Amino acid sequence: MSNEPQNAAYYVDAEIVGLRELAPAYFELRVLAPDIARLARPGQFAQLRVGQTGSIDPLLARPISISHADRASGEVSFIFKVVGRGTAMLAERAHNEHMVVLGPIGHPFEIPPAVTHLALVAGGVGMPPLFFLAETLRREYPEMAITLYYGGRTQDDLLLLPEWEALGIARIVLATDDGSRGYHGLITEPLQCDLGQKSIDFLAGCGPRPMLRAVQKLAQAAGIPGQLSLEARMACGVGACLGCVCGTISGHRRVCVDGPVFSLDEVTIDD
Amino acid sequence: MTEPEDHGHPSRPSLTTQIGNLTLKNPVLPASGTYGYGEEWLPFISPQLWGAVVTKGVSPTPWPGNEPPRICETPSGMLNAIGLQNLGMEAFAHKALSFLREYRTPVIVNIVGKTLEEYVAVAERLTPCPEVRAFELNISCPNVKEGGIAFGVDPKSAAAVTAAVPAATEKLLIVKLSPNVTDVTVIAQAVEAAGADAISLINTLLGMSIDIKRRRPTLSNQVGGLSGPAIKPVAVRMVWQTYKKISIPIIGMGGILTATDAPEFILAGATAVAIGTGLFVDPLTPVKVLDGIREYMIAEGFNSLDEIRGLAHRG
Repeated sequence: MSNEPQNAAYYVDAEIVGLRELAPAYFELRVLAPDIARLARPGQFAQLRVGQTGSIDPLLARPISISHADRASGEVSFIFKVVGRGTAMLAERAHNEHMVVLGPIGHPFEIPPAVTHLALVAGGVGMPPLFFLAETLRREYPEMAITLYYGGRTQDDLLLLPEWEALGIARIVLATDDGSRGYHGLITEPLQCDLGQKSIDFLAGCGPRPMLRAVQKLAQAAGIPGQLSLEARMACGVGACLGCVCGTISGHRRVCVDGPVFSLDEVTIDD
Repeated sequence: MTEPEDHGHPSRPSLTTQIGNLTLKNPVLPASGTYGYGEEWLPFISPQLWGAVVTKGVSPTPWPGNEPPRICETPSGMLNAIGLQNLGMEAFAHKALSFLREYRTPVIVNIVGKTLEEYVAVAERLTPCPEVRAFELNISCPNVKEGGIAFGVDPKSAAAVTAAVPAATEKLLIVKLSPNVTDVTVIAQAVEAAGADAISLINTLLGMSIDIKRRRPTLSNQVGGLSGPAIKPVAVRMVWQTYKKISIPIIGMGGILTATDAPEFILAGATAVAIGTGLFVDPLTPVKVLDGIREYMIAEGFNSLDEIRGLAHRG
C-alpha cells in the first residue's frame, strides 16, 4: 500500500465536517483528516482530544473506533455513545471547529481471504468498527458471505440499520434486551443456534465484555476461529504507558497497539 | 533544532546543563514510565530531542505489573497503578538498548527492585553498556507491594539502597524520591549523604478514585499515583524546599506541560526537568517545553541555565 512503517500514525488538527445525533445519546462525528483516512483499516481507532484545541480539559484524549474512512474525500467518521463527561463534551463540539486527532492506531481486523462465511457480532456501541469492516470486505472480497448479529438494549441502541441494509450483506439478525426490535434476548442466543447449523467459518466481535466472553465460549465450543476487538481506558495511545493492558494467554498485552483486535483464542476476558 | 553551544548569547542562549559528570545538551528529559524505552513514541518524538532518555523501570527479571484497570482520569490529572510491568534487564539490554544506541543520546536507566540486592543486580548488569550514562533508583513507586516506595519513605533504608549501588557501578547515581512523606528534605539529605549524585523530584502522589456505580475502587490496585498538572504546585514546592537543603542537582518533575512550567521549576532550583503525563496530553509537549525555556531566556536576557537556577530564592 505504501512504504510507511506499520505503526505510522498522524497527529493532526482536523476540521470537524459533521456531527449528528443518530439516536438518543449516540453521535456520529466526521473530521477531515486525509492522512488518517488514507491509512485507516477496520478495527483501528483514533485518540480524539475532546476539548477545544489547546485545552487540557479533559486531560486525556478519548479512544474512539473508526466507523468509516473515505480516502477520496479525506473524511474519517466515528460513532460514539455519551457515557461520561468526555463523550458528553465531544457531543457538544460543532461543525467547522477543529479537533486534535492522533491516528490511526492499533491492529486492525485481519479476516483470512479464504473465509467463506463471516459472522460479525456487535453489541451496542461495539458496532461501528464492524460497519467499517463489512464495508471494506464488501469491496475487497465481494464473494465472502457476511451475517451481522447485532444486539442492543432497545431498538434505539441499534444504529445505521438502513446503511447496513444498503451494504447488501447476506443476512442481518437483530436482538434487543426488551424485545422492541428483533429477537427478544441476547444476540448470542441466535448466534448459538446458527453456529451449529450454518456455514459460518470465522467470527469478528466487538461489544461489551460479557458479550465478548459469550462469543468466545460459543466459538471455541464450535471450533470456529475469530477475532475480538476490546476497549480500555487509555492514556498515551502509542504503547508506552502500559495503562490499557488486558489479560491474554501470554500475559498482559496493550489494547492500544497489540490490539484492540486480538485473536479470539488469545484474550482472557473477565470482569 | 540548533546544536547547543558552550557559551550562551542573549539571542541564542545555551541550554546545556550539568548533572554530576553528565553534560546534557538540554535540560528536558522524559519522566520514567511515560516514554517506554523510546520506540513507542518514534512516530512523534526522536530520542535525540531529549537531553537524556530516562527509561521505564527495569528489574532483574520480568514483572507482570498490576491487573487492569490501571489508570483513571481525574481533574487536571490521572491516577495510575501500572505496577512497574517491565521486560527485565536481559531483554532490556538486548532490545531496548540496541534501539536507543543509534540515537546517541545519553541513557538514564531507571532501576526498580524488591530488595536492595535487586537494585544492585540491575546496576551491575547494565554498567558495561556504554550508552547507559546514569542510573535512577526508583525508591518511590507507590504501586508495588515490595520494594519501591518501601525504600523511599524511610531515610535509613533510602540511604542504604543508595549506598549499596556505587559498589556495583562507577556511573552517575540519581535517586527518585517520593512526595508521600512528611518531609522530603530529610530523605533528600539522607541519600545525598549516602552518595547520590542527583535526585529526581517528584514521583506520583498516592491517591484514589471510587467508582460510585460499582461501589468499588476504580483501579484494581485500589490506590494509585496521581500525576499531571494537578500536582505541579506540590512538585515546585518540594523542589524549592529541597534545593535549600542539599548541594547535588535536582531533576524537577510533576505536571510539566506548558511553555512556562519548566522555568518555574528551574527558578525553584531544578538543574533539569522531566515530562511525564504531559506526553500523554500532547506528544509535542517536549518541543513546547524546550521552546518555552529558550523563549523565556531570550525574553529575560539569560545566557545560560546556571543564571536562572534557584533565582527565586533571592532574599
